[in-house]
Amino acid sequence: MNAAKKLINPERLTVLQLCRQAVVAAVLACLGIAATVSALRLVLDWLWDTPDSVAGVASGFALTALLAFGLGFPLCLVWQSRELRDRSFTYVGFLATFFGLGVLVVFFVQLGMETITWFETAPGLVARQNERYRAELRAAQTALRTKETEFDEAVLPLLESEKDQLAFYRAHIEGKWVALLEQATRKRKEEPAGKEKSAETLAEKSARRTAMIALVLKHLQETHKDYPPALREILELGLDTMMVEAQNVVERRREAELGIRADTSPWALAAAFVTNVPSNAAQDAGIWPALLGSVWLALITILVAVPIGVGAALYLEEYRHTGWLSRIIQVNINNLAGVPSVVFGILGGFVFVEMIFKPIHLHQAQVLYAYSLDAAAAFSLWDRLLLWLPPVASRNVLGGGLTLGLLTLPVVIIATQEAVRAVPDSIRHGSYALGATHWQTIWHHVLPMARPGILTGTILAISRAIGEAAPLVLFGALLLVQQSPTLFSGFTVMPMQIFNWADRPPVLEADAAGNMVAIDMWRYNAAFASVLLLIVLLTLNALAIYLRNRAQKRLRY
Amino acid sequence: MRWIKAMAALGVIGCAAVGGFTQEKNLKGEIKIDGSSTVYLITEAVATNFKKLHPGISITVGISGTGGGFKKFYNGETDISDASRAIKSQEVEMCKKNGIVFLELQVAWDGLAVVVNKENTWATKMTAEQLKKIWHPDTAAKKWSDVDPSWPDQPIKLFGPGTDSGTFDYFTETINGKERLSRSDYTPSEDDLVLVKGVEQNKYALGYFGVAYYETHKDKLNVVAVKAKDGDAYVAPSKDTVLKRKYPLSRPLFIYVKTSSLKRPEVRAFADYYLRRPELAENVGYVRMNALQQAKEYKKLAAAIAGN
Amino acid sequence: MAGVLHRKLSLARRAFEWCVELSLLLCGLLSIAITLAIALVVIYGSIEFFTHDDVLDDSGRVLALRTLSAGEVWDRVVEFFTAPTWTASFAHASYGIRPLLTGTLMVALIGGVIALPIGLSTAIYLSEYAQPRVRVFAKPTLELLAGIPTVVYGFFAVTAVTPFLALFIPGLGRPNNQIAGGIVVGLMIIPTVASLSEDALRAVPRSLRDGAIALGANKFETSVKVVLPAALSGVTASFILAISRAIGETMAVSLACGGRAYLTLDPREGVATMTSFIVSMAQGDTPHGTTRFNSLFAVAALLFLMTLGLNIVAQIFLKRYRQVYQ
Repeated sequence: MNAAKKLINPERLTVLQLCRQAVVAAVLACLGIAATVSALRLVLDWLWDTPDSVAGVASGFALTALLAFGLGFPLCLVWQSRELRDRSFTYVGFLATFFGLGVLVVFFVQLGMETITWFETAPGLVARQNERYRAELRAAQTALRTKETEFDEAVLPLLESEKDQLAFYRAHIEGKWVALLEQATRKRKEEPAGKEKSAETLAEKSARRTAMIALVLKHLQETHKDYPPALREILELGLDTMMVEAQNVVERRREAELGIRADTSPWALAAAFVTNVPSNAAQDAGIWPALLGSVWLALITILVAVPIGVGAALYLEEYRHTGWLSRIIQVNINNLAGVPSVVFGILGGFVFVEMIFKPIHLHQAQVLYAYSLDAAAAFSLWDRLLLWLPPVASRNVLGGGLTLGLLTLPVVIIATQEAVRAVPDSIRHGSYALGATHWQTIWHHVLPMARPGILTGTILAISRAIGEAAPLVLFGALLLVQQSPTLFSGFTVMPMQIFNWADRPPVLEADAAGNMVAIDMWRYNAAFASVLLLIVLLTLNALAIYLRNRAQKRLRY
Repeated sequence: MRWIKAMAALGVIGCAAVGGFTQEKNLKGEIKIDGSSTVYLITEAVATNFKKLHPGISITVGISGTGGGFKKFYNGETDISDASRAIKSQEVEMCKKNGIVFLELQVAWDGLAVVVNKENTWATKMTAEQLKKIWHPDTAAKKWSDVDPSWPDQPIKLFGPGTDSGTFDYFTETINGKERLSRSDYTPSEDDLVLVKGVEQNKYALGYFGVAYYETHKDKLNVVAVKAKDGDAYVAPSKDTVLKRKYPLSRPLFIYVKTSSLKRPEVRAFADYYLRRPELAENVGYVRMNALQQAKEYKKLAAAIAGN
Repeated sequence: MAGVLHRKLSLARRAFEWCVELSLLLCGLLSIAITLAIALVVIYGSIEFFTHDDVLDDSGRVLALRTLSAGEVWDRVVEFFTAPTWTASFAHASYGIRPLLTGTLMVALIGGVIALPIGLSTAIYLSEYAQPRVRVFAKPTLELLAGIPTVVYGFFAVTAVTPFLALFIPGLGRPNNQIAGGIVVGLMIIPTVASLSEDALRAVPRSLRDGAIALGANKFETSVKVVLPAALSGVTASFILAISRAIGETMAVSLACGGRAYLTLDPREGVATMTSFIVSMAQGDTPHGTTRFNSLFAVAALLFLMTLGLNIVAQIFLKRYRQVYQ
């Protein structure tokens, strides 16, 4: 025990003296730090003309002092002895290393909780929306019935009063028209509400009726211009409104059929979330176009970045180790790796959109217009190609993929360089000794051995491409995309969808008591989408790490 | 029977107007729409619903602004132009020059409510001049007493929409005379709930946003009655005063449809659907027209289609 | 290496090899082309911004651009670097970069304050203290942290960090404030600092460590007083690269800090940074060819130059430590 005490506390101070020294040191340190920070802030305020109140500076001073003391006291306590410093750093280092892991855990827990909330809130919102669809359909049906009743009430008395005229017409025009008119304007048999035998019965009947009246009226207009004007007015007015109402009923029914989601089990909701398109209704929103967009973009990125990246890396590693050109290229690559992704977006937006795809888009529109005017005109080969291609949007998947390809090029080059460098020279020498040329050596020996490393680089490139949103915002990926993307169409990607949903205002819904409650459904949508995205990315990253470990093991001989 | 008399008063148009009873289910085609970012919200909602019924139709809606949308419209690039103001005479000239015949249809009303805290008893009425004094960057009144000496000597805390929204453009143009001309030291937010909460929690706060959102949170805020110029009365905003065009900070929202595009069944169906579903405009926060106004616009469309 | 061959290759083979080498060279030159292209685009846009101004119609909409005289251009440049407000979205716009620059630097500073101590401690721990089993588990964890998309970090800042900080920081701006943005950016760059510093520390030869231990130093003193100074250039390079990354970070600060450009040193407010301004300007419906849109290029040019400068300095430091030990 004494030996231990001597080790930790060579100066043989008591615990109290230790603490006192520590406190003195900590207080001095914290006051010093807080004073420096506040002085700096005051200087910057004066230099930069930033408006800061005295209270703000004073509170900043107090806060900094408190923080510094809180962090500094344990530090000073520990600093009092050499052994304590050493021992404590073990724990500090361990904590620091797994601070990241801790943050990740908090991250996932929080995202997970919001996803669970999503599963809890979504069924309620879907049920309320289903109810809304049904209520709208009922309202439209009621409106149609009301209009028909009013029409009957308006027409039948007039028919009564026009009996003499009708008798005259019956005598002088073809009987079937008058009979048709009478049949059409006869008081409808009241149908009990809700007892329609088949779909669209109400609207179909109404439609047939109005069609009959329309037919009669047309005939009457052609043959008898002086037919009682009052009746004609009412017939025409009634027709218009009844037709509108009937069409409303048909449409609401269609919308209800399409929109009502009967299945609100968690699996069905999750499947709907993945396969739906984004929508203005938070519970209907889905990630399908974003998912496809991400997949397309990842594919094009690999197709662009991997061949060019491997090529550049091979050039640097195999063909020119030294020389001013390779030095410039190497420096360039290292710098490009650090350029913010936003700047790549500006580059892509300018080069691919303004200079390449926008002119193609406009020219295609012109060619299509000319074709619509005169299909037999002579078109050049380029024009014919444009006619054959689907509509080329100026901000399309190809351009986005090219931009991301440029963005991830440095990653692929650096990873490939490391992989190629790790291939031992003995392999190359053996190959040359057997008479192979440079390229044959590379293709048949170096590249296969470097394949795991190149694969790691590819996977890192894919995961970066899937996770990047900033360059695509600059490039102009659309924020509300409802159709699946194709090579030349507009697109959106998963990170952008999350970005779009993350700061949308909450949805207002009326709860049971009728008060408006704010539900953060968009945030839960963003959390769910983030979880899905993270699962994909973490799987990719884990795969990359596994491959790299395996490659390192294989090359150790 | 009142509705019959009302309709009769508007005149009678040939029946079977809207292309007959459209049960067409397999419409295919493309509709290009561009224009105001204010009307975009309605058009987008309508297009989303419409596409559910007719999945074969592709609708692209852009937001180049009312002026930009008209430019594309008279160059023949779009079928429908969203507009938050009536078309100007120069634009009409350009349409004539390029042989574009169009149909103007109103789709909704847009109104701006100026709101203050529930405890704000002094600013129940304001003139447009006073609002300008507060919001113009040159004058940018700091305290309530700067606007009216009888008001409290307290700094005004301002809330308003962000610079990307159509509400911002409209307010600055109406009050300050120029689009986007506004003081910049206010709390901006696209989320109306944030604005409502901000004004609700601060006794000396003032904010502005759409009338529809004010109606939803009526119980938490006081609204300011606005007078446009001397000689007018102070009018408080409500759905009614906006509809009747009595409230000065209200404007109609239009779509302009190219008559030649109406020959295509998909455009016909879309325009017809647009006018038959005014509650979609209400859902996005505007004021829907009353039944009379709706019927009038519908008749216009029916006439144009029949004329084709 | 190809010169080692002594037999004569056929013409076809030689031509093929030559073509291959040429195409690989072109691949390499593409990277130079990219850098040049970025510089050209960004500088061209900035020149457009500094030398042109809007011609407005009576209701304030932009009709066209007119070229400015030399004096006005100089005024514009001076305003860009000294004016205290950035009101690009408003009429009578004032284009002073100071608010955006302050926002960027504040976020980078807070991020650095968090990331540098933690990252360095991690690096020292992993290279000096940790057992191999711990290292096998810790390195992938760090790389996973680096692989999370920045949008998700931004979302995390808004939904978890800000409410948590609001518990004990009075007057914290909700939902936007710079402290949350800085914390989240710091979390993002910890892996950068840790992995690069660890490489630098591992490259220090064992002889130095052995000598220190022989003189009676314990592990902590060896690490901090002997190994760390020896690897200082590598560690500095990692710091600089991390700060450069923090400056260039876009989506997380866009979500966490909001979009209001306002000059303040109070980290509790949420102000726009250079990157979040670029994103918000690109997202909005600002028409191309207006001064407002061209200001994007000027800000991007400054951003590009700043990160390029920092990267070059970091590369110099890295070369130094590699030269000493390899």
